[in-house]
Amino acid sequence: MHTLHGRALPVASGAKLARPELTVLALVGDGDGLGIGAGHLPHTIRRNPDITCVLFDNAIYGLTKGQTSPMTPQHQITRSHPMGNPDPKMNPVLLALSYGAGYVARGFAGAPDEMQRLFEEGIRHKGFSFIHIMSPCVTFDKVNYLYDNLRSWVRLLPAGYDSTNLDRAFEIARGVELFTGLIYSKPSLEQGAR
Amino acid sequence: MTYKRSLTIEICGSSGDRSLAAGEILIKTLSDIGYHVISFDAYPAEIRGFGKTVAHMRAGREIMLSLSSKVDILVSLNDRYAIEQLKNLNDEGVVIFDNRQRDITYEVLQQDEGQTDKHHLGPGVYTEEEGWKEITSEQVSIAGHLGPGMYLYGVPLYQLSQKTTNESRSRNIVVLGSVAALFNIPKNEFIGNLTAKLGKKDKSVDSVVAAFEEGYNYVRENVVKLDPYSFERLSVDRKGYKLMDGNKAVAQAAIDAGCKLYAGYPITPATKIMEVLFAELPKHGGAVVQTEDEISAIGHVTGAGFAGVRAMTATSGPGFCLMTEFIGYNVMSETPVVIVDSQRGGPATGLPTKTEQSDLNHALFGGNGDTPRIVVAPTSVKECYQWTAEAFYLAEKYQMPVIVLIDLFLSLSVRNVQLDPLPDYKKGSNKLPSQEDMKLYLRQKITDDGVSPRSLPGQENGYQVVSGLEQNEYGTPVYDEYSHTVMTQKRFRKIKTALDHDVPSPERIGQKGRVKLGVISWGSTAGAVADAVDSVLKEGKSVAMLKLIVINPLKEKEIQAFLDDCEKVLVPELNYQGQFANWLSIHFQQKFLRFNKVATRPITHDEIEAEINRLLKE
Amino acid sequence: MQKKSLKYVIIGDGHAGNSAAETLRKGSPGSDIVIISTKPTHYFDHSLLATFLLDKKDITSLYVYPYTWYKDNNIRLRLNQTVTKVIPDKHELILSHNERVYYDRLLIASGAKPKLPESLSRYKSLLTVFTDAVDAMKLREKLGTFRHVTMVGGDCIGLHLAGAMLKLGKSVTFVLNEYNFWPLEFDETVKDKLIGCLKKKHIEVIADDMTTEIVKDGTRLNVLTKNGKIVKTDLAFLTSGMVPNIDFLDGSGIDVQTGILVDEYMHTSAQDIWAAGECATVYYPELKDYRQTTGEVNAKMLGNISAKNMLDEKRAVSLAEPGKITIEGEDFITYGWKGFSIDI
Ligand SMILES: Cc1cc2nc3c(=O)[nH]c(=O)nc-3n(C[C@H](O)[C@H](O)[C@H](O)COP(=O)(O)OP(=O)(O)OC[C@H]3O[C@@H](n4cnc5c(N)ncnc54)[C@H](O)[C@@H]3O)c2cc1C
Ligand SMILES: Cc1ncc(C[n+]2csc(CCOP(=O)(O)OP(=O)(O)O)c2C)c(N)n1
Ligand SMILES: [Mg+2]
Repeated sequence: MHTLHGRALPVASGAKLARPELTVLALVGDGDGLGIGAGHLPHTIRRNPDITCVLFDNAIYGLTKGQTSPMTPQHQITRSHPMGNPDPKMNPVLLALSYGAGYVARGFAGAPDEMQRLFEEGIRHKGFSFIHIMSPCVTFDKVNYLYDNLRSWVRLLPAGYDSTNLDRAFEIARGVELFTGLIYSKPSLEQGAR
Repeated sequence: MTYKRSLTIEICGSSGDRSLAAGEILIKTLSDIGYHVISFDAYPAEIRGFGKTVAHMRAGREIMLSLSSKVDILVSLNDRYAIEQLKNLNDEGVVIFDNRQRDITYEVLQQDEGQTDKHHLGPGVYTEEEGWKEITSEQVSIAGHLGPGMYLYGVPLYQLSQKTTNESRSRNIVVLGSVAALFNIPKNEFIGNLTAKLGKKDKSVDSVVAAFEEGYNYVRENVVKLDPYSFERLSVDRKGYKLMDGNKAVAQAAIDAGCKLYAGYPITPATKIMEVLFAELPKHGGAVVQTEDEISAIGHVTGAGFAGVRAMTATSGPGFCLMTEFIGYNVMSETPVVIVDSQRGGPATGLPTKTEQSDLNHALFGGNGDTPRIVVAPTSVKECYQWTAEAFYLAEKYQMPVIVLIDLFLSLSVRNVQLDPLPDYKKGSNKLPSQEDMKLYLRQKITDDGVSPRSLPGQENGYQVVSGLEQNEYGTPVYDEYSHTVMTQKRFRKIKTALDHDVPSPERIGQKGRVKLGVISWGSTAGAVADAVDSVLKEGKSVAMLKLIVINPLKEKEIQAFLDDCEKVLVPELNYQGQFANWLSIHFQQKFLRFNKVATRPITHDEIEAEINRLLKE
Repeated sequence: MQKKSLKYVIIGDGHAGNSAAETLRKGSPGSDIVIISTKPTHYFDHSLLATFLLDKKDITSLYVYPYTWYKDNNIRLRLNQTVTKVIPDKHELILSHNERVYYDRLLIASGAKPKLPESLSRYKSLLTVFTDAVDAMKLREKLGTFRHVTMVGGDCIGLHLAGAMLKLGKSVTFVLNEYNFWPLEFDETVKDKLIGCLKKKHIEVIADDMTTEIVKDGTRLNVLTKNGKIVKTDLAFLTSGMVPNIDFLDGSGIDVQTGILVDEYMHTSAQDIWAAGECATVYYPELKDYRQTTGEVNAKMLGNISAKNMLDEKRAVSLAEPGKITIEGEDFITYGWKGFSIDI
């Protein structure tokens, strides 16, 4: 179901409440989930329904042909900011952690195997899971999220990284390096979804 | 033009063929040589589909406010797509095609049409002289699809483009040369516009001009022209005219009317207004914000309005819905805001790239409570300018939301217009408190005209509280019968005052006195009605039209006088329910005949003409 | 009646092609019928070309049918498109814009073009042709620019044109060569009678001679003959008879001589291909021999007969009624031409 722009989370939550046996995913865009629909994120996390939210972040408003999105880097020139975007971008992983999400991961469209693994784990996770996917818009973004750029930016999490350690997760999320993989997962005893 | 009142031209290609760029140069040239023009392009709705792109334009000697149903000249840069356009071509229309194209559609056909006839597709032919030649099949060459009365002209666009620019991408320029030669369009203007468009950024201007010349000369030397269509230079000066679409006109009006804040959220087809203002408004001391959603956009505008600054947002249906609560808030708090809604097909996300006039109910009635607001609906690009500017004046003067209803057709269709400068007095219309008022300042003071003097934040002794709650004259929240009654009356009284002082009588066009048929219309459809009425009048028919721009409040007396003159009254509009006819029915006893379409495209003048003639015969 | 609905393709939008299309449509209402023609103009009546020069009528006045006729009869017209190749094995045509067209059954009715004698081929650009509506349109545009015309060779088209030229007050010279008044029944006595009639009409006739050279002389032309005559003229028309239009059949494997060889059922040597009209060399059982055909009457008749055969109704050809051309009250016999008169 394609909901209204920005409204996937409430609709997905409703579907899960009505039919708990269903596997429910909410697939959102960066403009969608962090702009027009951002208000729904903390509250969905707070209510912790057993759904998986995948945020496909191309750092641009793709459908409307290339305006600034909440993930567009500061100073980048776009259709709506010909003089450059005045505002810094958001940090979805940090947001999700701060709001208390029990499963937070990041993936890259150029690494589909890893993405698949994260999706599977996220779906299995009991409770709300949040997966940030960096996914190039090949049409309207010619400077930022190019496959080549992202390939050189992403880092695998350090060996022996403990994804149940929330403090480490915050460090990783706050850092400048773009780590991909499972960044935080609440130990299963505490999961308890509704 | 020897043959018809106007000619409609289409340049059809796939998105890489640059047909829109060619269209732009063509209408600019036609405008420069004295024609009225109107263009309305169609491009792939989803950016994902690198699909059909059609530059569509109409040009004529007289002013035109609408499109025709039929196309007279179809230029094909991609036969497969152009074949689909043939159904709109008039029976004696012209087709120009590439008669030496490389077959680019061959594999595509095999992929997406699944079953293909092995006879029609093959590996091509090999000859000693020419080597391997790919061959198009019957289904994908336009040459086999024309009606018997149509004229087919072939030009080797691909070859000439390769020859001059070493690439096939200049086929659009070669074809412009051919169009110039075939239809007698003066060459110099064309080349001027061509170089102006490419000019600075392109080092290859010379080779592009050569591509144009090749297309021109090929036709002069090889093509026998049999069709009757031609444009020649007209002796009218269109130098003061500018080519612009409705979005641009709205943005220009905001700048000229002194708008100092624009806030918006991207949505088709209104996004362009924001994009233009992002580039232009800061130069005029204004600010532009792209917000996280439309609630925030109108919130920003409300704040600016409260602060005493002219402010605007523009959106389309779904975003307009999100703004609804704030519309009521602006009514209650008496805050001026200008909201432009460029209507697209609905409900919900609907048809983002298709035009419609179906937000009228929402504009008039959306929101809770008794919520007076002014609604204006320009009918042409020129009026988009006039009435957006007027909206700022009205919003400020009457301290309420003013909704400017346009639609995707007005937003995106380009026309050549001459804008009249705005009168100075309209640039500031705040009713500021007098010294007397300031002794005991009442923000919501009950007045005869309903308008309370407004202190602006920061003004000494001008302390005020506004909110979305019902209030008394001091602005204190109150919920009693008396206060709610007088305050509601006061808010509606402002509308009445606006009606008496600032709403012009609707324009009547056509035959004077009693008529067999009257047509009342609004928005972009009124353009089609004006064109249709113009041509039936020339046939001596007894018809008149009334053009309503201010939809609320209505000039009831004047409209009634028109109704009294008409035997029958027709109300055509681009929505299913007849939202405007319904609105009129609330105010008048008249039985309105309806003509409703949800055509996903503008109503054309010939459709209206046919309906008028049908009703006159009945 | 055909059981299966077939796709019939006709090369040529002239008398032969159109009468075939009409017959095919009557015999097979559900089939696809396509006419392909190099000319941008519609099917027109050649015998009106001369009078077209005399008035101001629109080019459509020459057309035999309004275009709606094709719409009503569901016949697809492809004008301004040239067939460059026929591939009988694949049942395919290739058009000059690189399109392949499939057919189940094909009729070639591509007519003829003016014959350009070998010796004059160097002067092609100085010669004017008058064979179709576009030629007539162009000639009419420049009527005011010349006073004297020369017919290089003698054929019926030249006679037809001469009639119009006289009415327009132009003076006319014929320079006759061996192609004497194609396609009249011709012998020495006929020749003398004809020359006599032309002279009575104040037409200069240079007989038993031939054009050898054409030279530009300012805006005018000098036509030089073998016997040393020099004709000063404004326009030199190529009127040396016609030859079938069959170049595009090169390499197709279809048997041709002067024209496309067809049997008495109008069938060519290739499967599912027929030919009719001026492009065909037809076997007449009456003559027990082949004959090149020409003229409107022939073209229509042969078009009709080939269509019948394409519909599997076996029908053999027979010779057409003779027609006559009248000059100064004298009649001259031609086979297959609908006659005309150049008297007023
Ligand atoms: C000036 C003039 C006057 C005449 N007057 C008379 C007269 O009075 N009486 C009379 O009986 N006859 C007259 N004729 C002769 C008569 O017109 C012809 O004999 C007759 O038209 C032959 O008919 P057709 O169908 O065989 O060919 P045409 O009518 O010549 O038609 C040939 C068609 O084939 C098409 N074609 C040719 N090659 C190709 C190709 N490669 N691809 C696609 N299409 C092709 C052409 O476009 C054309 O449509 C006259 C001829 C001329 C030129
Ligand atoms: C209420 C509302 N406002 C605006 C729109 C127009 N709109 C559709 S998608 C979109 C932005 C999409 O950006 P993002 O979520 O990043 O997705 P992307 O297209 O980049 O994948 C907008 C503004 C809408 N559909 N509804
Ligand atoms: Mg995005």
